Amino acid sequence: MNNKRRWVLAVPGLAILASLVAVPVLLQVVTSMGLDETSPRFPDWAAWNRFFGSSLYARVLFKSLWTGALATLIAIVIAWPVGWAISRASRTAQKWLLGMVVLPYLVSTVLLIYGVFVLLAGNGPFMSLLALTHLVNAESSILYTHSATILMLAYEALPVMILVIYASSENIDQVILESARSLGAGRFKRFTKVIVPLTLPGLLAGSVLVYVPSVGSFVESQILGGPNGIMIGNVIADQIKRINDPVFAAALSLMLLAGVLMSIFLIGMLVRPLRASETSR
Amino acid sequence: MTRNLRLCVFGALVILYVPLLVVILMSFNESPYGTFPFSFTLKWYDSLLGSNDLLLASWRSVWLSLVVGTLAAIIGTMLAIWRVATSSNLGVATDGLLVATVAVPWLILGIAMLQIFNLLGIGRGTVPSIAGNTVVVLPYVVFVVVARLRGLDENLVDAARSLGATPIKAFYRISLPLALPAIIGGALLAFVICFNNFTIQYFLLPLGVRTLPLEIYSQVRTGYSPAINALATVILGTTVVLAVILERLGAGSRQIRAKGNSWRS
Amino acid sequence: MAQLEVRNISFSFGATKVLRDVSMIIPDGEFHALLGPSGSGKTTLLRIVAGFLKPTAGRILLNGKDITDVPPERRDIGIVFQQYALFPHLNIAANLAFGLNMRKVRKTQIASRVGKILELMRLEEYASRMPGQLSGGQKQRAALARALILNPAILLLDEPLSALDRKIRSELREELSRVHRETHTTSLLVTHDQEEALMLASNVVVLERGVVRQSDFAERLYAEPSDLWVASFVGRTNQFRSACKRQGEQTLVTVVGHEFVVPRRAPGADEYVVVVVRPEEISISDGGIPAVVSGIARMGATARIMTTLSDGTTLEALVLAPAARGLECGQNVYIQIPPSAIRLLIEQ
Repeated sequence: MNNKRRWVLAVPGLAILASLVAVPVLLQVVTSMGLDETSPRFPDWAAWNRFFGSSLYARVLFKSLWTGALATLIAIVIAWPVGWAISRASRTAQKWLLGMVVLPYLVSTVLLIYGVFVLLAGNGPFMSLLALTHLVNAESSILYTHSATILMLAYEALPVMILVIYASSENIDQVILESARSLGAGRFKRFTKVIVPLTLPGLLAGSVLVYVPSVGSFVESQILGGPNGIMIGNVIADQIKRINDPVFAAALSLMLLAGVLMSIFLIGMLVRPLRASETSR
Repeated sequence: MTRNLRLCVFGALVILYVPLLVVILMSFNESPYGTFPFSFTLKWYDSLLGSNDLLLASWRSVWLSLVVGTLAAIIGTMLAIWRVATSSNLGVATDGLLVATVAVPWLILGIAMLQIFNLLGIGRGTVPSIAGNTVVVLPYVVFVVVARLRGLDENLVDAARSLGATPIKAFYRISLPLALPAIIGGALLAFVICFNNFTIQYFLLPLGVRTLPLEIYSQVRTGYSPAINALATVILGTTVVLAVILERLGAGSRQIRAKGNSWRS
Repeated sequence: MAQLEVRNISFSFGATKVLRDVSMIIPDGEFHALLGPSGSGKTTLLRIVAGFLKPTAGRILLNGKDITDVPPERRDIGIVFQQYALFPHLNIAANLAFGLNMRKVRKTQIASRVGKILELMRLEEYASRMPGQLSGGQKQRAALARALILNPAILLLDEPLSALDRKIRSELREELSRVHRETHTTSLLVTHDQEEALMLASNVVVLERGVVRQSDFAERLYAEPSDLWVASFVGRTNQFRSACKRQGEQTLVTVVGHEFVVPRRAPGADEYVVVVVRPEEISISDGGIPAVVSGIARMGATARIMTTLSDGTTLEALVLAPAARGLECGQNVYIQIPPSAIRLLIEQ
């Protein structure tokens, strides 16, 4: 294909990316400063004053970031051995296992939320089981608590995390571990000095895929969470759907975005000493 | 695999499938509130057939996902072809844009897109929904196709040219067929993501027009009918059957290609 | 059937000069080799001849016609790639038919030509297999068949044997020779393996860092290297620095205290030359220069014997196994060097 004419191929893609992602998101900055069909007073810092005026919104935002992180972490802890195990299995076993891991993902999330709802309800299967330990009452339930939301988000994150860890682990040849072993590294050392540094980059990239949606979620907390479980996503969705205040919604969205970016950056920094490129020095 | 690891895998699968099994179980359960005791019935499947809302919503989801999947596959593949061939700054900027699209929460993208459509006077609608869902799904298609194209042996195109193929012919006869599995995979991925994309559809679809995720959401919140469980079980069953058929087809086509196809290239 | 001429080709990649004024001519039907270590620019030159790269300067001529600006798909050149580059999604027959399809040859003709080349390359039973099902040697034969089926004017071979096992490599070398004898296609082999070059080609061009070091008949390249670098690259050498006295058609040199009258002129005008002797020319016998065996490497049919002379210099001898029988490290032996085997090269 002629070099000069090849860029024509990129036009549709770049056009919709620019017009439906780049422009709208940047537009939110302007919107947050009061640009709206109904109240064209510009620039208007009312939305920002409101956000920084009380600690309420900042607290909700922080809580959402924290919730997302927790859910991601729980998912990583459960997913790691699983993803690793699948990468060591035979080709056919891998196909089946990965297929089984992906299948729940294909069912609508809302439906799964309902399934978890039924599961965690009072006198339902989960609580009855837990009641056997005599630590909790079978009639009570963790539904309508923030813990339920966290568990739900972790559950949704699980298939993706397993796939991501599988993909990262695939590259680690068994031979590398064997040579570490022959050099005297015990199980713990092998994990921390070989597996973790090599898996970490892929893991981090994949975690973002899970962390970001979790922080911005609102359906889970709406259905499963309690009065203490309001997430920033709920506030934003509310502003648009019920209250119809796109200006404040824009300000909140931008803060959410900022929060997400900063936390990703922070984690990247914290995790640096564990990365493979540092260890080799 | 060691016993411990096997246990972990089993445990994870149990965790993954329990809510699903609850839904499937409840679709056969007499009680409409999802409580025990359990008594078998098929009445919810009957109710499903009569539930116009659910069936209509499902049909809308399938239709929307097919359109979005196809659009994303075409636009995404075109973008991928261009991206692989270029090393300009625009290419790098595009990478950033694609990553941003994946990294920004759908919530924010949804309301930002709604804002743009409102400002343009279009508001919510079918076309905005198609556009919005396509854009959100595009990066996945592009990443998958680019990865495949980059993984192709570069000598293959040179070999084709040394045998008399112009660059365009070489692309159609060699690169594209080899990239096809990835393109189809990307299209499937796009279909699935769009089918279950609650957030974008929540903000861009016209009020009252509901796709399956929205319908389920509305019913879950306002006393619903367990026909939803029946629907979920049907969807699950269909997906499994389709996957198995695709698997068999994949294995069969490889054999056919080897035997026939002698002189055609 | 054609003559290929590479005329004053230069190629720069940014600030790096990859090829510097390289020229060569391959007459019709001959098999030449381009020999050089990695980084010498040989692959670059091949890609320029094939048309995938444009030279910074110089021309490529086919039968006198300038084809430098002709795109690869319109040059009548067949290429066999190092990694075979067989199309993985087509079976072998379809791979072979590809070029013919590009030329819009009739179906019946394609069938018969594919059949013939399958016979020539002894690949009949693999026609409907996929490339992934073939072994390395079979893939290379298929790649060769795919190039030859078009009866190209020129055949380019890019290190075609380096990805193969030793045994398969020698089998395929025979195959290449046989095919060339039967088809008489003008061929250019690019390789870093001097054995391959010397065995397959009638003429060899030695390339080092973009510059032609020597261009000669294969046998002469080995027997009469033009400089020290070529002598060391093509085969092994023993080298000594020696003062020389020129005496007409002869030269007097001193090697480890022993005088040799070499029946050649010394190059240059310096009072010092480098005396070069190939290991296989040195023999272990009962008389000559006294030495001590310092190492023996028995390699089946041959043996490499390291010896140390009275003044500490080491000499490497390559002998057939029978001659090395009974030799031991530390043993005192005598070395003989026939003066006619000595080469004299300029110090570098």
